[in-house]
Amino acid sequence: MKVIFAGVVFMALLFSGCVNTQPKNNIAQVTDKCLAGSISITDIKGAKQSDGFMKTQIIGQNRSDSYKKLEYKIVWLDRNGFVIKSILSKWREASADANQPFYITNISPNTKADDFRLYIRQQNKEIVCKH
Amino acid sequence: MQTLKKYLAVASLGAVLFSGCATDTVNVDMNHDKGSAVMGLDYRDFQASAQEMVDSMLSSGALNKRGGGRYVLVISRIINDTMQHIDTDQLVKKIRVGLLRSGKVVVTTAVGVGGAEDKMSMQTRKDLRGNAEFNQKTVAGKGNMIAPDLSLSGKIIQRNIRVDSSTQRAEYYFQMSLTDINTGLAFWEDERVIGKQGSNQSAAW
Repeated sequence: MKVIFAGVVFMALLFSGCVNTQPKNNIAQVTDKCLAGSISITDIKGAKQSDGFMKTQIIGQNRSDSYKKLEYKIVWLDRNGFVIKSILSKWREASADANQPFYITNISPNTKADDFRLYIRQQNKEIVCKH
Repeated sequence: MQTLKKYLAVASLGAVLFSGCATDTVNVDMNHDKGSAVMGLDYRDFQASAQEMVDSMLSSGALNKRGGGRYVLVISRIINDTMQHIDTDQLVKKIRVGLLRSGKVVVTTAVGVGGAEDKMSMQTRKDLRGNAEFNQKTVAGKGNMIAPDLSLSGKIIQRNIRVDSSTQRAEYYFQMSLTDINTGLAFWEDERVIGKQGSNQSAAW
C-alpha cells in the first residue's frame, strides 16, 4: 500500500474521432496516478455554438468494478492562449458508475473561449494505491 | 517546601502540555481546500451551487437576447428557508459575477426588492440636480436609467432527517428562477440538491 498525496501524471492525448470539432490544443490530464489506472478519457469534443459560446463534451470510461466520484475542472483559454478567469473553472464533481462510460458536458464562461484544458482527480484527500 | 515544589512541578508540566495543544492558525488554500465537510453550508457548497447555476443558465440559451446585446438583470428575493443564518449574497454574488463576465447580462443596482441596492445612483440625482454647486452637465439626466428585463429569484431550503439514534441527514435545496419581467414568464429554472450525513452531535445550523 502506498499513499500518494499528489503527483501530476500526464495521461492521454486522445484526438481520434472528432477532428472537425476538436479545439486546437485541449489536453486531458489525470492528476492522480491511481486514477489513471481505472479511469480513462476516450473522447473530447469542443464546438462553438451559434451564440459564440463553446460547448464541450468529454467521454470517459470507468474500468473498475466500483463507483467512483471524480473531480474535474476545465481551464478555458482565449484565442491568444490566455486563461479566462471564471467561476466555471473551479473544481467540480462528476460520477462514474462501475464499468460504464461517463459523460461531462460544459459551457464556456463567455464567447471569447477558443480552447480548453481538462483536469481530473479523485475526490479523496489521499489516494491509496495497491502495487 | 516539599509540597510547594510538587505544586510547581505539576503547574509547569501542565503549562508545557497545554501550550502544545494549541492549534496553529493557517491560511486555507481556497483553490485546493481538502478540509472535512461540515453539516452546515460552507463556501464550497455556495461555490458549487453558483457554478452549476451559471453553467445551467448559459447552456439553456435563456440569456441570448434577440437581436444581440445584453439583458438587464435585477436581483429579486432569495429566500433563506434554512435553520442557518445565511447571507444569500454568498450565493448570489458568485452568480452575478459569473453572468456579468459572460457578457450576456448586466445587473442593475438601482432597483431591488427592498429599494435600490446601491442608493447612491438615486441619491445623487436628488441631491445634485439643480444644485448650483455642481456642473449640471455632469449630473445624471432624467430618463437615463435602464429598467430591468429579467429578474433572478430563488430559495434555499433545508430538510433535516433523522437516520438513526446517532446519525442525521441534512438536505439543502438551491432553487432559482429567471423571470422575464415583461411577460412574467420564467425563462429558466433549476434546482441543485446537496446532501450531508453526519453525527447527531453536529449542528446543521
